[in-house]
Formats: sequence, structure tokens, C-alpha cells
Amino acid sequence: METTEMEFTALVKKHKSTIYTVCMMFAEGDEVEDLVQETLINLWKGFAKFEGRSDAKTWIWRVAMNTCISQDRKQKMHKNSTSSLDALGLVGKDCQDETDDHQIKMLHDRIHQLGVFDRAIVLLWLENLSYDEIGNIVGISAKNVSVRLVRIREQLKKLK
Amino acid sequence: METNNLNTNLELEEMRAQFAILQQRLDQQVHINEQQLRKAVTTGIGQMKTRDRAAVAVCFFGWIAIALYVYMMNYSLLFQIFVNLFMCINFVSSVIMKLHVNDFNTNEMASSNLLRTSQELLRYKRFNQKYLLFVSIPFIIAFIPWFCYEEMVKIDGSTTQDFMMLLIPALIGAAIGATIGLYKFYFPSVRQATDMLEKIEELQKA
Repeated sequence: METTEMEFTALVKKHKSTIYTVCMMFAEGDEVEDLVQETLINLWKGFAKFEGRSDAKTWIWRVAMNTCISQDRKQKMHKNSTSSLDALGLVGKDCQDETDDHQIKMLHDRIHQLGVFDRAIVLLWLENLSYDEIGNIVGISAKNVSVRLVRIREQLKKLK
Repeated sequence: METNNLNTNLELEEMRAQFAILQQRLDQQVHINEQQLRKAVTTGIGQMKTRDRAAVAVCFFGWIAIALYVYMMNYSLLFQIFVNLFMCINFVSSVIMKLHVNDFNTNEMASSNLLRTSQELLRYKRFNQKYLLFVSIPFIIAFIPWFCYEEMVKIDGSTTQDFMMLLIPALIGAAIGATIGLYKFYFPSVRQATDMLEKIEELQKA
């Protein structure tokens, strides 16, 4: 394996949870793995240009979200009956795991009720990125991010 | 730099806790397998996806087959030119659009923001819609009667009634096909594009 491939593999393995989180929040069930594969391809295609010029995590968020947002529309009409946790073999075995599964499902359901841009904004906020960084990834101003977050909060309250 | 100031919000804070659980679970249990990584690194930069290559191949071989058919059936030269011209436009636009999308995916996906990606994809969708409305449908409208006429002149002693007997079933078939196509593909595509446009506008306005 070449050095570049080894570096890429190490980077992907380090940030696998970021990749899976984004894909789980933009897809359902069996589609998650397909989306992960698509994201990996786009990450590899952009890896040569990346060269550590920006923060790796932010770059991965950007690529993963761009991939998901472009796939979302193609598969929007397709409903999948399998849950993402089942599809990834992540269903818990003991009592604590069951509680966690419920929490993850709640997060999944809440996020899936938001539009694609709001979904992206809230995920980046949950990742603790600053408003400037969120705005940069989404393509809006930091002020706009704070306005959107207030609206998302209102929306989430209504969904309860 | 502005900082996050929504910490007092219950829903979002609860989601943050749930997010941490998810991240922990993924860190512990998910493994990116070697096969997935190999597949990613063996995908060449700028390489077209299999389904895009298949679409281009269908357009190309479809063109060859139809060109041969209209030639062998000895239809009029004008009709042959008309059919070949459409197939040529179809093939060229298919290649250009696939390359354009592929090029965007290769070059911009890693640096572009979500808004720009969405606008680019929306432009692609709109192009396909316009192509259908202004190229494909007018072609079909002209093709069916012309094809029936070409068939009719090949039959000795044919009458207007023969022409109508050929034309009416062809028109009924085309109408059924068009209705299914419009409801199954065109209208959902327009709805999705409109929906995305509204979301983009809303995001920019906020």
C-alpha cells in the first residue's frame, strides 16, 4: 500500500464516527452503507488536494455533508423499513444499551424531521463547531447560522 | 468569532447528550472494512460512475441501432436525418452533463459549501427538465406522425384510413407512456427541485 493510501486509511479510521454520524442522519437503513461508500470515494478524490491544509474533521464534515446532500434528493422518495442501527449491526444487547438505542433513535427521528440544511446546521452545532465554521461549511453567514438555530429550536419544540 | 449561546435550550441540550452516545457507540462498534477502503481508493479521479457510463453507452448504442434501422428500412432521407440529429443531440448532451456532474463531484465536493452544491445540483435537475420539455417531447410529437406516414408510403395502395389505423394506436401508446413518465418521473422531479429552491431561498433570507 502506498504512503498516501496509508495516510488516507488512517484518517478515515480516525474519523469513522463522523462519517457514519452524517450518513446515518441523512439516510435510512441499508442506504447508510451505500452513502458511507460514496462519501469514502469523494474523500479519496479530494484527499490529494486536502494535504492537511485545513482541520481534518471540518474537511470530513464538509465532504460527507456535500455527498449526503447530493444523494438525499435522488433517494428522497425511497422509504426504507430497516432502522439505521439494525442495518449497521449496532443494536445494543444489555439494558443500558437499550436505553442508549432509544436515545439514538430519538436523535435520529428529530433530525430526520428537519430539512436538509437545518439537519446539517444542527449536526455541526452538536459537533461543537463555531458559528463561523458552520457558516463556512453551509455557505451562509455566522449571523444567519444563529437565526437558523433559533428557528430550529422552535421547530424542535413543536415536534415534541 | 461568535460562540454557541443556545446552551439553555432543553431540546438541543438533550440532542447533544444523544449525539455523544451515538458517537461513543460508533467509535466502539463500527469498523470501516478494508473492502470499502479499497473500493474508494481504486476509484480513479475524474472517473465516471458505472451508471453514468451505462447511460452514455445506452445513448450511443441506441443511436447506432436506430440509425441502422431507419437506414435499412429505407425511410426518406429527411426522416433519417431528423432521427439521427435527435440521437446525436441526445448522446452529446448526455456525455456533457455526465462529465459536468462528475467534474463537479471530483473538484468541488471537498471544497464547496452545501449551498453551492445544492445550487449546482438544482441547475442539473433544471437542465434535465428543460431538455425533456423542449427537446424530447417535441421530438416525440413530430416523430410519431412522421413515422406513421413513412410506414404508410411503403404500403402499396394505402389510404387515409390505413394511415389513421397506424397513427391512432401509436398516439394512444405515446399518450399512456407520456402520462406514466410525467407522473412517475417529471412531476416528482419538478416538486423536488421547487422544494430545494425554496429551502435555498429560505436559507439565504434568514
